[in-house]
Amino acid sequence: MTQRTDPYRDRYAARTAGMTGSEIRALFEVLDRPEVISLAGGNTYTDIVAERVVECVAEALSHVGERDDPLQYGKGGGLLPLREHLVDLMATEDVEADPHHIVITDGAQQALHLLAEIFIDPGDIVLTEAPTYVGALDAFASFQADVRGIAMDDDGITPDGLERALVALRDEGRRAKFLYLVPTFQNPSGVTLHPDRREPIVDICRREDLLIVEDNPYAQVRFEGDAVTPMRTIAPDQVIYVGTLSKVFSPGIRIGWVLAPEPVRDRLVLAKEAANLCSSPFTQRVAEAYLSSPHLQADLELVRKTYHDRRDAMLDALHAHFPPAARPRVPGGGLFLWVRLPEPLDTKAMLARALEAGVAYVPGTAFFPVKRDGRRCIRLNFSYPSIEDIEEGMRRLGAVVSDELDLARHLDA
Amino acid sequence: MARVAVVSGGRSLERRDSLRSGHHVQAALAALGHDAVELDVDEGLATQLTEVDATFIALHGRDGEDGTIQSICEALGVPYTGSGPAACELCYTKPLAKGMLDRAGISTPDGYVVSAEAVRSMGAGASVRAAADRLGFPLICKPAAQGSALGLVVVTEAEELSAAVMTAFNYGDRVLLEHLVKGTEVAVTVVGAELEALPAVEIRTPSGVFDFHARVTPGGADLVCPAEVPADVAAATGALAVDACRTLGARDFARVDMIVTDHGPCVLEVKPCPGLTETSLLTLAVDEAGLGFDGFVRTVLGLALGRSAQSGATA
Repeated sequence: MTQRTDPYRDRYAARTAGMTGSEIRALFEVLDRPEVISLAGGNTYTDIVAERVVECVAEALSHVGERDDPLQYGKGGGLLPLREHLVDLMATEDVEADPHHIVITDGAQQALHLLAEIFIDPGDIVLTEAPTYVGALDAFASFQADVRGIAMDDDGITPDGLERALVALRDEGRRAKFLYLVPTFQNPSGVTLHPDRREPIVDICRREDLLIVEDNPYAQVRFEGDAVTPMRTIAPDQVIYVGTLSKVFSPGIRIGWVLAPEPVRDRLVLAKEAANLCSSPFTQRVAEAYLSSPHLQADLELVRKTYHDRRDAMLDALHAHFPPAARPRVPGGGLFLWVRLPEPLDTKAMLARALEAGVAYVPGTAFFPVKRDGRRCIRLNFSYPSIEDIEEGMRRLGAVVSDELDLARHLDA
Repeated sequence: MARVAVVSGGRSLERRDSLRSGHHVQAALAALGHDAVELDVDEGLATQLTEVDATFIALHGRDGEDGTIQSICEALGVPYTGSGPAACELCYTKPLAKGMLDRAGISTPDGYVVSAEAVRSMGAGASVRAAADRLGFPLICKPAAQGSALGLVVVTEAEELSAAVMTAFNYGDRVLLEHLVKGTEVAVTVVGAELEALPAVEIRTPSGVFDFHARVTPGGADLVCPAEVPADVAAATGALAVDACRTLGARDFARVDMIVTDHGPCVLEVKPCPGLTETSLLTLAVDEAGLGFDGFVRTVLGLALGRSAQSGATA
């Protein structure tokens, strides 16, 4: 008898072949142990939202029996009153939008999945920043995209870097389907694409007729510096904008959206209806209630202040407990601190020791299209853990890093 | 009907598989009519173990296979499945197990051990390089005490050696450098009071090494049972597995991983509490043997309860 560790393997679609198991995910099973402090996830601060949810649910249920009943099926494009609120929210980011150009999705992750579904054929090229959001890599991989990363500096990708990537593709006789960017407080690096680079990048994309997918989950959680004009505002016809309420309201509510030119929007609705008919009308109503509540702006201020305090606590702890050669990229918003550690550390290999020491992070390799890149980097989350957990987690991790470096130095002596 | 605690999960990096093992065992116990409850490791565990008739240990790696939970059960006087504390600790500490097996005339790969402390304070980095020169490339670098091939790296050239050793040190304070034995990888499960060998399971992977990546990737390996080896070789692997378990003092059940070479089978390690999930090597072997997983669970629990009755009679 021959058996595979997955006996159903031969039945799966070829496009799932890239969905390999992850050692990191297997090791992260220990995260549900109470003694482990996780600096690994992307959870948000929801204490204040938790106080609001009951009244939002009550408001949502008040629409039972009405048109757009929250307990019935809804429309594929999403609840119009919610889309109207999202237009208002995007206006605070200087994005002009028509509610009829919006599709509500189950979080931004589904937005990326649907965009991949309607645009990517097997082998199609997608350009991204390197590193980039791991969920986007997964979504693109599930449609067998050939993802090519463009290196970033402290101000994001450069117009020259984009030009070089396009020339390289031309040399191969190929074109990219789109350029995926998280241009503001990027996950994982925290980098914001410099305002002076945005128009030149848009110009290149216009010239090359290359669509931009702008994933903008973190603009609302800026706690330092001035807002930066979104790519969508610079070139509405060239940019498909992806938003989420995960950072504004709660990840658990699973509300994201796509703002796209009308033909793209219409195709997304078809894909959305094929995927799951519609996002939950109930949670859409809850989200609508929250966005229309008088608390929204004050709550957001508290969230920003909380993240600011926690980022500072993480930086203080980094300086106190890590070797001086550890280099953070300091973000003025978002949820993550990206830290480059000294040679010869391999952060993927070091994860086991960190977990044994009771602290978790995400190794940098997870965020690169080519997995051997980023091995010296780690992504640390400061939005979810308390300041006490940040301090203790960083103390534990700093000890692991120091110990690892000391051992490596002796090993090669 | 017995009240049985199935201990699984725990603090080790093999937690995921352990939880799956525990759930599989719990379902089998329930199907056999027992009152079985899954318990994770926490501060109340020892107290909870005093409230049951027996403990089925489905903990892998640290705490489960190093003798920790077995020692607790011994002290509490709670019947438990599988090997005793000393045998577990011996199996889990690979250099000790290799030494015992070698002395008993059981072939294991040539290997050298280095500790982190020796690297720091005795300049043992030089011994790592010397060991690699002696073994030749490719070689296996792995933690001296760990399961599921965690931290195992195949080193193909000298430039990869330091990174591989550092990887293995992330899983424990001692690292084992071993000759890479080429051949057919098989796993032999032994079960019962007399440690009967079940049909060997052959493991085929694209890379030729059943590493952690192959283990966590669905479909990452093909398992063939019985192994496609000549009958005399199959018999030899079974006999060797029983010898290895007896040498290390294992009881009730264990899995013996080995490589079948042109010169005969060579033992890689003995797992006193191997994976017990629906797709584990052991599960395939007990099915092939006609015992079935429920039958395996019944047998092993019966041995634990039998020891308890015997010890009660003696007392």
